[in-house]
Amino acid sequence: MIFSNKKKVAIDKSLYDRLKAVSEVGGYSSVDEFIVHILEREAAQFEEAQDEEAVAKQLRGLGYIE
Amino acid sequence: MDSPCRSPIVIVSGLPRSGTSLMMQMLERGGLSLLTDGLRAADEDNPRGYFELEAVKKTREDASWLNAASGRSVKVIYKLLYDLPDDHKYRVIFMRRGLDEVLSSQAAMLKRRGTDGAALPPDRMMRVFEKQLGDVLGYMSETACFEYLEVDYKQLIDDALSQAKMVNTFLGGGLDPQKMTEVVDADLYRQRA
Amino acid sequence: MRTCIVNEPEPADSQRVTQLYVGCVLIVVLACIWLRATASHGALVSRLDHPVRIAYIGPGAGIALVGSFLVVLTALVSAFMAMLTWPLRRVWRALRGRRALRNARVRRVVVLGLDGLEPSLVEQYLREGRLPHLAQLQELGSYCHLGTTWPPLSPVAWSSFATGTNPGKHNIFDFISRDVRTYLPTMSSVSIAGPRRNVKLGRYNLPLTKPAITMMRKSKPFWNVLGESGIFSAVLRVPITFPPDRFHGVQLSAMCVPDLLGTQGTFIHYSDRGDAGPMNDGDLGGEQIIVERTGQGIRSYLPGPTNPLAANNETLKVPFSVLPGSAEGTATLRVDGQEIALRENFFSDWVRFSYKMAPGMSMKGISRFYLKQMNGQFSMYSTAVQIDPDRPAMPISHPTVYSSYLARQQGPFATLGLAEDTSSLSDEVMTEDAFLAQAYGIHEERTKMFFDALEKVRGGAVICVFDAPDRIQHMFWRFSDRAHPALRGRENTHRDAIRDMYVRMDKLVGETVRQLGDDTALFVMSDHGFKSFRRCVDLNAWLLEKGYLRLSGDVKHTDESYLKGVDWSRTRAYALGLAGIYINQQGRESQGIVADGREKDELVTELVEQLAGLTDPESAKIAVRQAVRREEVYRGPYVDAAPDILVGYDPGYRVSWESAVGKVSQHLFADNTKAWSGDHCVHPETVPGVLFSSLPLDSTAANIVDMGPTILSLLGVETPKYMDGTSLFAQTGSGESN
Repeated sequence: MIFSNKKKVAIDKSLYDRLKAVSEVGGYSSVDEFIVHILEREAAQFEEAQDEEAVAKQLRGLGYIE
Repeated sequence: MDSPCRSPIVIVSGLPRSGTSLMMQMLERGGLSLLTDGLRAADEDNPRGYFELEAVKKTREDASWLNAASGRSVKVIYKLLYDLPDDHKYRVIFMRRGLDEVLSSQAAMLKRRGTDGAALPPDRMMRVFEKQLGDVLGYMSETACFEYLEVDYKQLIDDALSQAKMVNTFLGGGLDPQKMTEVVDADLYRQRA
Repeated sequence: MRTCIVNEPEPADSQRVTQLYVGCVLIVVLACIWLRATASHGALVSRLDHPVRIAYIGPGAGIALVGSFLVVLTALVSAFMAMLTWPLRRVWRALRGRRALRNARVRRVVVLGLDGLEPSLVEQYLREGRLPHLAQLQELGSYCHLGTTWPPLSPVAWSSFATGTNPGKHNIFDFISRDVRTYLPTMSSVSIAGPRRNVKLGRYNLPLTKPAITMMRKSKPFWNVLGESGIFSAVLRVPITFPPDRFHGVQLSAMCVPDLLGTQGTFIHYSDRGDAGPMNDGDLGGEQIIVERTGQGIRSYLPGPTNPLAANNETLKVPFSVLPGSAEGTATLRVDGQEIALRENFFSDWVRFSYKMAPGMSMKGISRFYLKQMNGQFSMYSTAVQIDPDRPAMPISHPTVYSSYLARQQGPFATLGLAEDTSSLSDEVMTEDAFLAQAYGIHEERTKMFFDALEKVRGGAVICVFDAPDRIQHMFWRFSDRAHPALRGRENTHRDAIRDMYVRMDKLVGETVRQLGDDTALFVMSDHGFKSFRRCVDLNAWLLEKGYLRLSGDVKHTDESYLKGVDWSRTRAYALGLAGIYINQQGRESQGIVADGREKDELVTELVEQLAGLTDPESAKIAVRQAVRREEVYRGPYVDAAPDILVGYDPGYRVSWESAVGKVSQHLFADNTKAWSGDHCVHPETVPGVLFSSLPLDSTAANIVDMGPTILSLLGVETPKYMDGTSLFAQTGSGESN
């Protein structure tokens, strides 16, 4: 409620229905659980890719790579 | 399968600021010839010099520097090990140092150079480095042209002779471990965690 | 558009206007309250980064606080909002509930969970006529074994009970899992991230955001499914319900609720001699505090967390003094303006006190004291300092005020997840009789809240788990097993402790049945059985011997916990926790060396084959009945988080204490001489639980994942497709589908 730590996201019904079908096959208890799981994984991968890019910048700054 | 003119190339590798320059000095003092160009001059971060070869950074485009490297030692930072062609044999001395010390040392160097770093919190930097180190060691384990030996920086400072002997054995003998220890100076060990 | 994060239904416009007005008035109040409330956050958060005391070969946790004031305010505001939208929601629920109950076979289902009740003992005592109420239940309804999970551990098994799924779908595989970056243990069921922003105000440091506590158990409990159909559930002390679920019903959190120090239970021993500090090797919790003698009495303090508001990280303390009483063996405890009578070798009642953080702001705690000796050498035990249920420092129930409600009904009660203090018995700070007194005290508290729920919840589901059977069998099995190494050279002083416990549980069943009518179905169940734990198997030592694991410096054993002594560059497999073995996988573990795909596959096959039939040289008995790859026993989205290989020990054996915390001992096999002498982390086929049903079951090939679907079907709700279990009652043909 006022102190809820959740945010709403709106998606097209057609996408929702596709996700629902996939989540049932995957063994998730709800579409929400499935969506949260894949979003967490995707976010982690993006963060990892961004972080690797940042580290490459550091190596360049130190003069070790071009 | 080494032909007389294709002795293994000795590579000193690791993360930046993990003791690679020190190892290069030790090998030189021990009797191994280095392949360097002296282009990066000594400074506060490396008072005795960098012992680098600029051409290494362009290995992917032009690996011809390797023709002069047989039986000599060259510094190749961990990220660039992937660029080394597999038609040579490499003996890699891989320097390991605590990541918190490495990060502090890198930060100090970036500050002195006035260049930008990764702007990431330390734990995320460490996560990337750990993963990349794991990847590159795994890569070398699986690639036939690589043999590698890990050397811990702290152990090197604390007990240089035994580490020097270990390196000498790994490289097939022929170096003088006692002379190698002469360059190890505990004063150089800053950023101690 | 479809909303994919579900919230409460939107109220009508006119109600919105009213709420807006009320909201403005509240904002001013809120601003003042917020400052007070968030002040309680965080210093305990400073413990988040360390794998804190693991009090049960399992979880350690940091604690995050919500100021008790904020808790009450949140509850009030929620209640107010709920009141405004109540008519709409009431109608909606009534409609859905009526639809469900039309198909229901009973009006109410009650589940009495007796953690760890062992079938062979139940059957023996039934034959001996010691369990008349269970015998009656068996006669009127059914009795069968209840299959359990891989591994047969309470967090895993109760999560499968709750969700009706195998662990591959609910993500709980052990008490602990490991961080693939650091190889350090993490609590598997809850993750806590500290407040990210602070503001300094003089010598105070105020956190601006709340710490985030996330439940790591996935999937959906059957009580949530019931709630979606408008059916109410009371869920009391079912393991892995922290933080509490949100659903149509009430819930009191259980396993993994921390104490106020942020650990899973650090008891305190007060003495006037010896050394202060941790009482053992730090893995199982206890602390010794040296008291100050003041003439006839003593002075000391109750340790608390670091003050979240102080910039200097000072530890909060509540001072107290103890003076001898006029009668021999009595004393008076003076704490926080109260005087409590103490008697040697008896537990005091719960004592409530406050840690002062800043002017007008305090954190509430409760403890029970056990005075061992007043004169001569002073010795006193205190339970871990626990969250006060009446004014909880963090939400431990749903709705948040439920724990306060229970505290007002029956007085304070143990809120700690692992409330029975097995460590203090292991460390010989408590006697066996004191431990039993504590365990049964908690049992009585549990009974009261269970009967309160039975009285108040006349339709829907009432589930309550009692932990005394599990804890008592863990600590007293040595007295029932003549050949147990822990009994060698000791007098058998508690031969009947376990038998007496079973009799007592049977009485509880009798009292429960007396309160139920014909419209209620009763289940009495356990999540797994129990076996003797005589011999330890050090899996890491085995891996080292076989060359799968290497230690730095090529040493042959290490006392460093949490795999710190391991040379990862030459280690292909490692063991941590109670369940099994992980492969040091490239691309997964940060220093992994085994490539995914064929290399890993072949390694797993090799390990599984080598482990099966592993024999104890001392007795020539088989220690490992079977090892399985995780894909054989798990399916679902979270299988990747499981250990790669599950090890099924034969009864009598279990993974060693050292290996479970990532050490490598010198011996592959060793006697278990600890007080913790019974266990159940063995091959699941050897430790099923029990299931008694007041209604005759149509199927007795029962597994714990079937409980959820069974309860749903009895209450007329369709079993969702994601559940792996099926109802133990045949379909009635009224539209349900499985």
